Amino acid sequence: MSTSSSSSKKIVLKSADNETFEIDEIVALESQAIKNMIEDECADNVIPLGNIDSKTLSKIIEYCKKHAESPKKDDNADIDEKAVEDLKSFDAEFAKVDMPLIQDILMAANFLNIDNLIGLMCRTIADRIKGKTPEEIRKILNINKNDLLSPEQEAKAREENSWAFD
Amino acid sequence: MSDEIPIEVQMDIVRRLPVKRILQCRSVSKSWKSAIDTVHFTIKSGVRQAKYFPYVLQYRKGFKGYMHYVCQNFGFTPVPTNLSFSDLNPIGCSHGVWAFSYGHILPQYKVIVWNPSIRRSVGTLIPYLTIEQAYEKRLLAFGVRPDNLDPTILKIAYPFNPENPWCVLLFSFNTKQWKQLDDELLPRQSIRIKKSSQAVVNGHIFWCAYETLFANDGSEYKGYMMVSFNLLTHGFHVLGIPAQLLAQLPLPFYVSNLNEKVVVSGNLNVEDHCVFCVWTLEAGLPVVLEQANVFKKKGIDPSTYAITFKNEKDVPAQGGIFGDCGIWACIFLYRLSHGKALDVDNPVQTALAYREHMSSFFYQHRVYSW
Repeated sequence: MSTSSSSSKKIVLKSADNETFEIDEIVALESQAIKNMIEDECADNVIPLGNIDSKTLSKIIEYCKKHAESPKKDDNADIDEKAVEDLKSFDAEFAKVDMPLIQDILMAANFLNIDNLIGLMCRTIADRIKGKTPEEIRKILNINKNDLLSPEQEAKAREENSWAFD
Repeated sequence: MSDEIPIEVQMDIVRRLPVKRILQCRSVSKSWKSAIDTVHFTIKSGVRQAKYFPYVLQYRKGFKGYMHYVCQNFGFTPVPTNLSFSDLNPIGCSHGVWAFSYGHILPQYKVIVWNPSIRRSVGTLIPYLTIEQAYEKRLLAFGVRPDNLDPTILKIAYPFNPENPWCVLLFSFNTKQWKQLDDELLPRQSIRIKKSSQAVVNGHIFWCAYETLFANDGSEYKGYMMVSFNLLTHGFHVLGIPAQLLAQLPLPFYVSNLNEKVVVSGNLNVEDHCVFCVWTLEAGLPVVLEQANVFKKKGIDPSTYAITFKNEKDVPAQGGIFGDCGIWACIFLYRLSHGKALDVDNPVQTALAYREHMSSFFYQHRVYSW
């Protein structure tokens, strides 16, 4: 990992539990939402993130750091194969966390608008619910009890089958 | 699942699952069921595949059929299937789903609808009633309704007696019933559709059609046109072909579709050479106006309608709560902000074209229930 140069601009993020994280601006720019704030010059020195806790935020910063350091796909045509592989294995390792944290990261990534991370989390969740019954999926994702179908509705849903597009 | 994860993002997860699993997910929760059941979800997940892999059906030696999908570099990959194309007559293709007719007229005449991307097919018997012996010729057509993706089959029968209207039966897989269309939805009974080709574009089925007419000297000739069928309203429309095109088009022509546009084509024999001629028709505003019955109400002849769209380029598609007030303010502001010259070829046409560009915009985003 390259060390961040001391001359680059710093951004401070503050989590819901008031922990602050100082990061290079280039890392923060991985978030489209923060990028827009900086471009519109409405970002103060400290950006408060009232709905993201420090555990989630540190994971997200870890992800953004790695991705900011890696060469971007559209930068040049012959990208380093090794760098791509490296990033892939990083993503795979990164996703090896428990389901509540994955959902927290997904929620935060959506809030901060980090496309790649949203994709990674969606893929991870999809992989984990693949081959599971609806009952198991509800358990894994901790679906709100108020959102459940009545037994009749559920029976009907099973019966219906939009035949050509299923 | 946290309420803070928007349902679109949750659906992004579901969309990554295999098709069967997605169906099962309909019973996970109320919000998942209603999100999966929306057309938006189906279109986002289903149509993509058909779009990326155009299918071709070829017949060699006149009867042996082969189905391939074509990848971006025009390579052909056979489509795995145990359907025997030599027994099937293709009717048409819409939204990546194919329809064929199969079997003898009586008693086992069927339409088979096949979705190659999921390798499944389903069939329905085509009703033949004794009363229909009064009908001389029949033709089948197929299209997928764009709003609810309901596969729809049409059986059009022409009467022996030229005074009588067509008899059109419509089957939709959602209703699983055949129903007869009201006479007021049908075109003039003298029109005949060429069954050799159909195209489904923008919620309409298009065909080449003709009408037998008589010249001044009493000789018969065929007047060609296009006929469209609206899969939402179930109305037929007759579309005139511009005289300029008609003069060049080999008749009878074939219809097909390319990038959501209607294409007409035909073979022309020029001395020793056979020339294949192709035109793409812009399904532009005149079609929209005609279908919204604007021409009829205003007494305008669509074939001589003069407004073109060359002047409405580089104008913003502004609209919404502000309506289309200040057409010129919009046009000028846009052009100023984009460093374009303010003069236009024909100010009247530009303003009209812009207005119609707006009405087209609203038409496209209309609510289907009106």
